[in-house]
Amino acid sequence: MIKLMLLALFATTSLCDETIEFAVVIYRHGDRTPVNPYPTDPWKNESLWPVNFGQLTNIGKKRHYQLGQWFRKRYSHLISKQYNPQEIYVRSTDVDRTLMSAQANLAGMYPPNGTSVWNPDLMWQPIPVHTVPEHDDNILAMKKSCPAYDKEHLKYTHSVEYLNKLHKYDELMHYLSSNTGTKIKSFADILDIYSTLYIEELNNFTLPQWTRSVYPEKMREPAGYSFKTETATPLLARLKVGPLMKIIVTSIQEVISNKTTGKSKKHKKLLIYSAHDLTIGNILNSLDMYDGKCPAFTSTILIELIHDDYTQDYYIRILYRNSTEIIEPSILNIPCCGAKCPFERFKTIYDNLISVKWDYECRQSQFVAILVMSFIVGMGLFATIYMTHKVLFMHWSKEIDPEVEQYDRFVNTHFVTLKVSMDCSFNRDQV
Amino acid sequence: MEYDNDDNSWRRPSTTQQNKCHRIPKRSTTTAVVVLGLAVLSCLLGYCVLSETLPYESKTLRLVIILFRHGARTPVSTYRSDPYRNYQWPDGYGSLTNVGKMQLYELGKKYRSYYANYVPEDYYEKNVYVQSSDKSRCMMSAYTFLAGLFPPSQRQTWHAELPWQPIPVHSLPRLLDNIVAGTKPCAKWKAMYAEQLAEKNSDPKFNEVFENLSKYTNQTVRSVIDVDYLYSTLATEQEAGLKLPEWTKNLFPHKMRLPFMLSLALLSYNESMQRLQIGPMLNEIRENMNNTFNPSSGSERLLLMYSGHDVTVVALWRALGFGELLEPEYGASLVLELHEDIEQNLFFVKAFYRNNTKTEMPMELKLPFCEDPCSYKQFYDHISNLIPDDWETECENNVQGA
Repeated sequence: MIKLMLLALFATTSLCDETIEFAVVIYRHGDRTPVNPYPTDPWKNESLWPVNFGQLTNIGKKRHYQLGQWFRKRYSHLISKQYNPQEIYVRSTDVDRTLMSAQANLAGMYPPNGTSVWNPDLMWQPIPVHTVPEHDDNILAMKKSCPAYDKEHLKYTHSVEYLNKLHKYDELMHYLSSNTGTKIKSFADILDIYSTLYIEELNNFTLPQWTRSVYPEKMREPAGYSFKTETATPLLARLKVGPLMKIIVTSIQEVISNKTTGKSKKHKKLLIYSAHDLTIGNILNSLDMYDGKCPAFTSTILIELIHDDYTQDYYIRILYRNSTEIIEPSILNIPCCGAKCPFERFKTIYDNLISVKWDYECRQSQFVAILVMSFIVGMGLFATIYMTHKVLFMHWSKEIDPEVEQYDRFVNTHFVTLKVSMDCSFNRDQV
Repeated sequence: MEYDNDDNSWRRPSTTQQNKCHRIPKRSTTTAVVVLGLAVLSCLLGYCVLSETLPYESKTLRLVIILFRHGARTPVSTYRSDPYRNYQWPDGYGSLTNVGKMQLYELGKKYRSYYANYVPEDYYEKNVYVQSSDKSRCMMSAYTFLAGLFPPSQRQTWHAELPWQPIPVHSLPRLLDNIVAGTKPCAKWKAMYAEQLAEKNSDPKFNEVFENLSKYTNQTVRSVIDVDYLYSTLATEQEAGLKLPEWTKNLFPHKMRLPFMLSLALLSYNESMQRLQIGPMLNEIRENMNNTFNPSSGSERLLLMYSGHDVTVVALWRALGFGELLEPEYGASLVLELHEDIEQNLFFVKAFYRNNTKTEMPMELKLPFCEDPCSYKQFYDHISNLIPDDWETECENNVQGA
């Protein structure tokens, strides 16, 4: 805690010779009800809750409103007091609770004043929150279909490394399965139960007796692991978080080139992304900064571009606040670079993420799959033609049977060799 | 817990009423009669007034679909000889103004009282779905509309001093939006539009307007779409209280109005264009109506709302069979109501239009393809004719891309 305060102090005092030129914030939505309670849950009746399952609660709205007020304070030098559409861009995943969180957050950040008061009886103003349907969103929801990712993910979840880690929790998963009435077989399944219990506890619902031996201590660590599986390998991280990091780095690049060339060209000052715990976890883990703790409601990542007024250099600073309370965030250590990382260095360190050509790379394995598929279909066609041919041939002259058999054997071996060579090329592509 | 509060507030007024009643017998009979008579009269009067603002069919109402145009905005463009070329518009070109925010807020409040018997006071996500064009002015219009329609009830109040609550508004990025904005690329439609535009532009009756406008604006005006932009710029400048140049007097608005309205209509000029321009929205309307029609769907939706542009309103208007050219003002709204007559076991559709946000009573529209009442079956058949099975294929986008 003292360390944290010191860091915060450092951040504020060092502002004298440093300016924040640009910032990106990514936050999780506010408090919600459980998304999907487990079958034996005594609190699974939706009417026991103030809002339906998976919806943002009044506390969640309030917390985001407060977080918005905090952003206003932190970035008072960066963004105007009046809402200026050219300064900020807000994007949310297409889910009720994230769309609503973003709106509540902006209500706290931009209370109308002066000319922006449009209704004296309502100290609120509308600010657009853009979104993309989840199945089309590879940036924030990270749910757009990517065959290459799916293949790599399947490979990872069948790897010895992953299975060994998972097997450590066999006993726990067995215990949870028998008590919750649903099969618990992955870290994500453990997280689901963990979050449900967490929310129930938060809302003063008494947890059943069986939870005492496992919740929260024994479940905390494996629940936290679930935020690592989606970005566990460099390729997984590249395809999952690459598109967002690419946008962020491109935007930063634009700010720097506008500043250094002295162009008055307008660029955004603040990008705001409203998303989920998994988004936060995926980003932190891809940046090699994840501490294994589940991201709390309203937890926030701040990526800031800092201009050192003395040396004229540009640095990246990443901060993280993992708390439902609006406390000062802590500065994260960028691996091999530290708390204040020169932008060029930052780009090199995370090149694996930034250099992704998402559409092209995602289709790669699909391309191989299409090749294999067309090959199999082709062989199938060939086989049928051959079979009909053989039947007809046999019909006409039974005497040359041995020759037919020879032909048959030839085709079989031919087929096998072709298939083998195909498998090899398949493997090569996989690497 | 929060439910209990509501229950209490319901009970309280009834007890005070009882107290009043007890007092009455103590007074003389004449006052009692006068008081009673007055009470009955005011009751009747109140009922009459109330029943006028409420649609009488609200008992049969099952689904309401509202498409509205955004509120007042700053100009989208300027022209070469524009004396206000360098005018500092608040928030830049094409932004929703404070007046515009208020217009939609008032409209939301109007619909709140109009549908008071139908739309519950609490916002409940399963009752409501809102989709907006990705343009900021449309999203912001949707937000203020919702602020007027769903001020937080006591139970939903989350901030003591702020009578507002966040309500999700969904949208599609410009290049994916074939539902509201109609900006998703469609090769077939583009070709049809170009053809229509060329034909209309060569109509000699516009020659004079084109020539005059070209002369005065100091730029080439050869298309109804050029007139469209000029018309809307002049209109917004005039609304902002700016004095228009002398030359506009002979041309604006009257002589420019026809080519302007034609330009709005051209996007959805004929049935084949409507299929591609508004078909996907009709498909959503059909799906929502179907879900209401089939109790097995379990749909709890009461309100479906779209926040779009003038051309969106015109496209739906034309798709509903209205050939007249239309100039939807800010906040103009087109409403479709699905009703169920339980006694006759009949579902029917009603259509209404408000050309701006000031209209007290919406104008009921007589659907030209339908009898009165318009049975759901007839409505269904009509819109189904305008819904492509596969929009992408019908757009022939692949051919174009290859």
